[in-house]
Amino acid sequence: MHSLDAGTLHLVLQQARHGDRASFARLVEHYYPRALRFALQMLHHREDAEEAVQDAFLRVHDNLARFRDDAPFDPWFFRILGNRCRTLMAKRKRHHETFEYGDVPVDAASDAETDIPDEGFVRDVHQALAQLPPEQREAFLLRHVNDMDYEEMTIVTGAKGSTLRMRVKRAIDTLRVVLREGAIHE
Amino acid sequence: MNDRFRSPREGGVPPSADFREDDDDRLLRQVRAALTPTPAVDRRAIARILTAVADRKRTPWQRFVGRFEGVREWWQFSTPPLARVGSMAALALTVGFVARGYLMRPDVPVNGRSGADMVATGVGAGVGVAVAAPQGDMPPVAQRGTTLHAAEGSADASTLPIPVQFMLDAREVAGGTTVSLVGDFNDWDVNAIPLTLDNGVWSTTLPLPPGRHVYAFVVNGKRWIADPRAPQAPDADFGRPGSVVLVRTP
Repeated sequence: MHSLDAGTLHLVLQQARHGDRASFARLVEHYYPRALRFALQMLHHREDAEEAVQDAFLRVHDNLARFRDDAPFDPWFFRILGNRCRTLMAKRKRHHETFEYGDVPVDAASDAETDIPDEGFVRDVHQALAQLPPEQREAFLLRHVNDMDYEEMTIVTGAKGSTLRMRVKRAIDTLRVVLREGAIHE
Repeated sequence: MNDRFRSPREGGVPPSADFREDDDDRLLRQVRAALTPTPAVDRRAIARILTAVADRKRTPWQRFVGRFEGVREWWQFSTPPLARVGSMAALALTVGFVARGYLMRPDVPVNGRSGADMVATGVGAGVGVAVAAPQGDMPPVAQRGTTLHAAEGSADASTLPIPVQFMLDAREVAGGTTVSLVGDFNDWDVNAIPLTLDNGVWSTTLPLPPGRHVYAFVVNGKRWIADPRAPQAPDADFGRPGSVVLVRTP
């Protein structure tokens, strides 16, 4: 079982910091599902998401010794993961821009390779999520899917609390409009 | 099927009023419920991560650079474009000023020789400057606060005399009624080269052959003083103060 309570997680982190590979493996097992969920919802592409998560864990491994023992791990980890996602998004955008106009759709939501669930309301939600600007999508996911408070979100994104509140609010407003329009059109 | 996951098309559409409620409205709960389940995990992906970690071998340089990856990404993603442009401009200006200061330092060796021994400069309000300038391109009398530099070039390229301007701020010699220039180029003759006073600056210009020259000013025919803005001569003649000027061809 890879679910860890807070005390065990702290212990595992300490051991991983001192180079214990088994503890690091437990850390990966514990965080991988949430990390993959976040990356998938940010990137909507399975391969990119797995690459981002793998890169994030490699960076965590490289820098774990410098991680402060008393600092919360989640924001630090999601900051690294968020940066990796943004890097991949920028890379993908550049890649698409190199194609001749019209060859490849730039919008992730319309990309044939996207990994959006193919079932009713869940699909609608993912499609609406894909329409959000990345920073709003990130703020919304951190707040309402990963249950972070705004202080932790500030660590993750580097943005102020007021900025993050505005992003979350705008994301919710957009989701409302998009989902309502979808419902009306049906 | 759980009602929270029911599609709007399946009759699960919340009342329109729900769309205008607070963030914790029913739609938001439905959205959260749709996004919260974790995706199916491919065990091979976790195995790949652990293998990559185990195989990770980095040079000290890569480890050092890796420390700044976070800073770079923060700078790239969390800094407004205007701030990025501003910081780049500030960095460029800083580098430019540092480089400029380094390149213009008179004590930096030039052509393998000590600049302090070769170039006499004067900076600031009190001007006491010895200037070597190229033939035919003699600048006017130096203004106060102007930085003057000896002309660059090879000292051995020519033996033609080059006009050299000597200047001394009158405030450096308060009470002086006459000032003259003495040096190895006039056999230290106190009466040979008098300076003229103009706008608070004693000055004179005379042609000197390329090379190193030691000189001094003589106030009222008696008091010898070195040029306060020029390098001091280590080989002061008979214990008298002297300065150095190196005349170089352009």
